[in-house]
Amino acid sequence: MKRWIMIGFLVGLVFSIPWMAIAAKVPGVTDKEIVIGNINPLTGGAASSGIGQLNGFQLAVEEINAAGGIHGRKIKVVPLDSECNPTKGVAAVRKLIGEGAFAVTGEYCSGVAIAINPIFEKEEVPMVYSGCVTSKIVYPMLKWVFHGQGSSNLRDLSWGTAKFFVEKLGAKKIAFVYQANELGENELENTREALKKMYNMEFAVALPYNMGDSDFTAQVTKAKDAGADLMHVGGLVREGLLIVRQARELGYKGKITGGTGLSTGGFFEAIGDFGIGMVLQDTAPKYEIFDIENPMVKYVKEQSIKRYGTGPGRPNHKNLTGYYSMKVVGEALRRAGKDLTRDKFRKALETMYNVDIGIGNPVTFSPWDHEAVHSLALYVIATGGVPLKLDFECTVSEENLPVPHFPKPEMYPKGITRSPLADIPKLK
Amino acid sequence: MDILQLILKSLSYGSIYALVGLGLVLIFRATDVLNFGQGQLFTMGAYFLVTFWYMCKIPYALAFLMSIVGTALLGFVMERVACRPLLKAPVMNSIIATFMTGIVIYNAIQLIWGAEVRHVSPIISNKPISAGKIIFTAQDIWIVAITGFFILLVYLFLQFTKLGVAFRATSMNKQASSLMGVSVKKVFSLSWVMSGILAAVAGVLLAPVLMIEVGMGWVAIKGFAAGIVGGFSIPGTIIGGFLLAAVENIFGVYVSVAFKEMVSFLMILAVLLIKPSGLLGIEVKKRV
Repeated sequence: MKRWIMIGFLVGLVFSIPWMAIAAKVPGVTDKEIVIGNINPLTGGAASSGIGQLNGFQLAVEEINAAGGIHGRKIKVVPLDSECNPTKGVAAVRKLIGEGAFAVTGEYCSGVAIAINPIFEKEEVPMVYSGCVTSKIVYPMLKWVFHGQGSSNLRDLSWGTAKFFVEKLGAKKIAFVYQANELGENELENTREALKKMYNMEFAVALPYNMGDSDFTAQVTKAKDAGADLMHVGGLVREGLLIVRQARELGYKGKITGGTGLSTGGFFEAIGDFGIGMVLQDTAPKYEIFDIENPMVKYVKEQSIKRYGTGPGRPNHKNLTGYYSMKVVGEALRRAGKDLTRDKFRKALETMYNVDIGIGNPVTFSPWDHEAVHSLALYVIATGGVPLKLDFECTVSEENLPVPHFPKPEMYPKGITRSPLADIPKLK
Repeated sequence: MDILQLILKSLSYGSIYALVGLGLVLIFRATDVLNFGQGQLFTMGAYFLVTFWYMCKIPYALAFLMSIVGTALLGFVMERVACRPLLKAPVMNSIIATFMTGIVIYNAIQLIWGAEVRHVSPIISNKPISAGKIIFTAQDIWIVAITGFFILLVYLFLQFTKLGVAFRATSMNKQASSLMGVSVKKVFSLSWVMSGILAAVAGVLLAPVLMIEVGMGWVAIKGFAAGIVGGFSIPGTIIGGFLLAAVENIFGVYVSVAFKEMVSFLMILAVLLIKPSGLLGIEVKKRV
């Protein structure tokens, strides 16, 4: 009897081996390829930014694949449209994970980011953002979520901008016009906190609007009635452009500043002379798509046009952030080794300390900070809507932030500071 | 700010609401069908302008005219596709058909022009002009003037042409008009063509004010609200459009800027509850 039990056990074991092998298989990873999902708003008001990011991402992938891939595996990108809509974003992420994406990247819209983050934490799937800026993706830090777009989140940006409002522009009464969604409310709260803590100052008036609104007469009127000497316009390109135009049409004579969502090619193209003197936050501090003398910018711009064509407001600097983000992903995949798992990839990201990925600011992640870069750059719009970089680039100081952001270098695992990916020959 | 300034600044948006509303009302009065694709007709007007003026570099006046012709043709096609084959079916079928046609046009726009936001420069200066405490732009005057011109054309057409009389007769009683020799089918087509023309004018006028995008047909909701407020009568809808834009801004400044967009829906509710026939609508009483 015992012998039959033993035989039965062995037979069972033999049959279960293939199933165990399947269970152990890493989703999205085969001997030949790694499937990376990419969600972005590919339609709707934020499409020029979303498509720009996707194109930048694809360009970096093409480079990596042309150089033989990573540990012999080619990268396959699966793009899906989030439409800048949280519900659609959740559906897209579930589809990507369900269909076996190894990791997910992209997303420009903060509201979508907040909706999809719990999925990554629950399913233990790495997410590397390349576009959205809400501080909630890094404060508090989430285990599987990284902000790898080459510039900072709204907490860092808002603290830096608040300093600029008061110390450089001499603002006394600030009207804060913001989109009534995650992006706007996050910027509002961070800026409010920064102004209060640094200067004991309140907004003269905070004015919400909805995405899709077109008539901002009421907001501009209220800002004028409040005597605002500075109007900060948050949100995205379409509404931002209309607000700035309508403010000037209604005779608002104060200074106007713009949030990071406005800082893209479409805005500069459309605003023209209405934007003269307007100061904008930027999300790609080291390089700008308009910085045409910069060889890296020139390369990304030319290749983007050659491979993906142009569109309204495209290519824009989101092509750069998408490209940057994929370089970060590529470096982490390389560090994770041939025996790739999601956990190894996540840990590999956390080993990156001051890593030059060949474009933009060096990347630093750690087990307690998933923000790649902490800094801010500002632009002023000159005649014809041409943006000029201001001589005001700051790294947000440690004292301003609620968590230790810049841990001592000796606390990091020793790693390579320059990625071999940065030396991959560029596509012709 | 002076309330007069708010009212004056609302005139340009009010014009657009009135034009879109008028397009809806013309079709509704003639055919009993509520065109849920009106927003897409309006969007097409703006995209035609982008194509002819920006892409093909055709002079503005000609591009304007071509946009009107293009959208009017589209209106004609919509009538043939979504309305004419369903003449004997319940009206609800036609309404659903217009909704579906609108979705088809929406997707066709995405396919042809892409989903990105575009902009066109204003043909008339939008630099502020001050007259005492009042600030306006030449573009505001342009929008109001062109709207007024087209409303006048519609009025003259309906009052003083044979087709206009046929239209009015059909809107009152289709069966009697038919018996009197009016070609009701022709009137149906005419109403859709006129609606297309008005949608195109609104789209072309609003193109430099708004950013052009596939979803800009939202404005049809405001036109719809203007129609309900005005009792789906032609003068009522025009007044409703201007009233809606002004009330939205006054509400935004004096009550809540966050809920400004809610006003149109509140007005619809209020009218339906208090005076279902609208401001200038004729109350229809049926003997039962």
